[in-house]
Amino acid sequence: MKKNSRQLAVLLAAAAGLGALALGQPPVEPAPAAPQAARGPVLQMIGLAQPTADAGEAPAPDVPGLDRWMGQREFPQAVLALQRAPLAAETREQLLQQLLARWAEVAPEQAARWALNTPGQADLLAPLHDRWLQQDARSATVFASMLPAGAERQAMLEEGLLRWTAQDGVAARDWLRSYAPQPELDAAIARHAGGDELARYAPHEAMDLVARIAAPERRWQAWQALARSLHDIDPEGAASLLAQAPGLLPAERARLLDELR
Amino acid sequence: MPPGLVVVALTPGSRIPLLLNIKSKDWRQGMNGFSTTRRLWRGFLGLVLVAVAGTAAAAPGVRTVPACTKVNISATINVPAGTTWDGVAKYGKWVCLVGTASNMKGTQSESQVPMFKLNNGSTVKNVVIGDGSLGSDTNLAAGGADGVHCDGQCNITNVYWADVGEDGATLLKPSSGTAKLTISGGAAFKAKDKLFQHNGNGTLVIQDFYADNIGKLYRSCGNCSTQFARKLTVSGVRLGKVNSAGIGVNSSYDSKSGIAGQADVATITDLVYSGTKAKCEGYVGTGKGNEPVKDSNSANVARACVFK
Repeated sequence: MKKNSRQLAVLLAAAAGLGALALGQPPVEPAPAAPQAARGPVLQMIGLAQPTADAGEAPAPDVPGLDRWMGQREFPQAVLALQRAPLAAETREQLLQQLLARWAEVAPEQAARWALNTPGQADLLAPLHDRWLQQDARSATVFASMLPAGAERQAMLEEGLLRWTAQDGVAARDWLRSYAPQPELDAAIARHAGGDELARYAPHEAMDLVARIAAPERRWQAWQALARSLHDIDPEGAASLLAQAPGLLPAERARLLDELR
Repeated sequence: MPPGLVVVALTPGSRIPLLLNIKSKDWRQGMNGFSTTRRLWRGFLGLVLVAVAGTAAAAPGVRTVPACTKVNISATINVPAGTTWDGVAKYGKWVCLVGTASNMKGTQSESQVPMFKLNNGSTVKNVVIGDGSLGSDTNLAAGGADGVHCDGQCNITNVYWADVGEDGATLLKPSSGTAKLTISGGAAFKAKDKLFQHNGNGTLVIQDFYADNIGKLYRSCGNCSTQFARKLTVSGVRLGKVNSAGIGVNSSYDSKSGIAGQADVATITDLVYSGTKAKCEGYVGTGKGNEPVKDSNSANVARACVFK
């Protein structure tokens, strides 16, 4: 009950804050000003601002409601408050990036879902996902894989797999292998498997991945890229490795070797 | 229905929707069937129609430097041949390496030593080089040293240059054989001059990379004592602010270079840049002690800058 009351109070506060913002005058065009750091006490607390300046420094910009929303970890409201504050564009962008970084650190999935589902905030999805990938590439990639299909999901999935394979290649490859060949995974697999690093340190895994590429044309291009990488690493050993490639017909292998000569 | 339309079936228990590419003709035939059997159509309530704009891999979006813990570095980190130096694996978190020696401050001095020396077959990955918190200027001493030097065949994977010093990475003239440096993933910021410098022979590959506020992304050495016709492959790269040019290649070499008649070749795919500087420009490569000039022969430049 006590918890419910507290939640209600927070909701009321949020509603009051939104109402106040909605009833207020339209935001005035920000006056041209040199970029400066905001220095509210809450912003300092969460690392969004430097400690209070010495006398003589420029005053901190006014960001109505931001301290309060950040203090309550009401990140959506904090973003709105920041977007509505009359700040210089560079200052706003700087604070927004720091806020997004903080949000992605504390509740990355909530942040990404909010950006995805809130009208007008779609542009924030990519930077939030970027931050999320830096701290937990696996979760961010799995999240991307569950988005509605489309160009956005494709881009986020590819970016996620790029980062995940770099940070924890073993786990990422296990995840990839847990699915049947699918065209939307082809680009990420081709990039990872055709590159020098995997070919150098785990050539058999690279060949196994290439064999899983769904689209025949892309699979062939990936075989060509992998063959080139193997040849660059060890010109003498490339042929014997390709002889062990799963799913590669003798005629295809011969063609690859011909291209390398 | 435009070609490339994709039906996405969200099947129970599947974490990735199944994609079924339907060509136009097949789709028309399929829709005739659906119109006569609406119940069947209802059976496809889990299907979502989405137009996918092509399937080719595109350049990455804007990237930011990972939040990182500063680690002071007083001497070049030598990565032995055939090994991997993985920052996240080594420290269990993202670290930003900041050079503390006087020749690792990340200034524009040519006497800077590298943060990493990669030997043949080695890899550096998952680390931030330099301190990005000092401001937006490109001429800061942010401890990035002279970036990464590669001798032989090396990989730089998912590395972030928070503030590039004299160079981000240099492909050296190899001790033996043919050099190849693959830079895959990651990003670089605040390079006063060029980001990737190609001095040796062989190939430099830049893929899935983002760079912002840089002089040039790449420069083939214009006046090295030993010159080579070099290769560059750029694939899936997004550039923000560029102050000089995207790519600088030697589209011809003069008689002082020792390889007159030869030229570099840059093969460029999915390079996204909307600024006003040239994406790729040609120079006349020359010998040591001479200054390379821009190549005025547009046919040379067109041969050297190959956009696919």
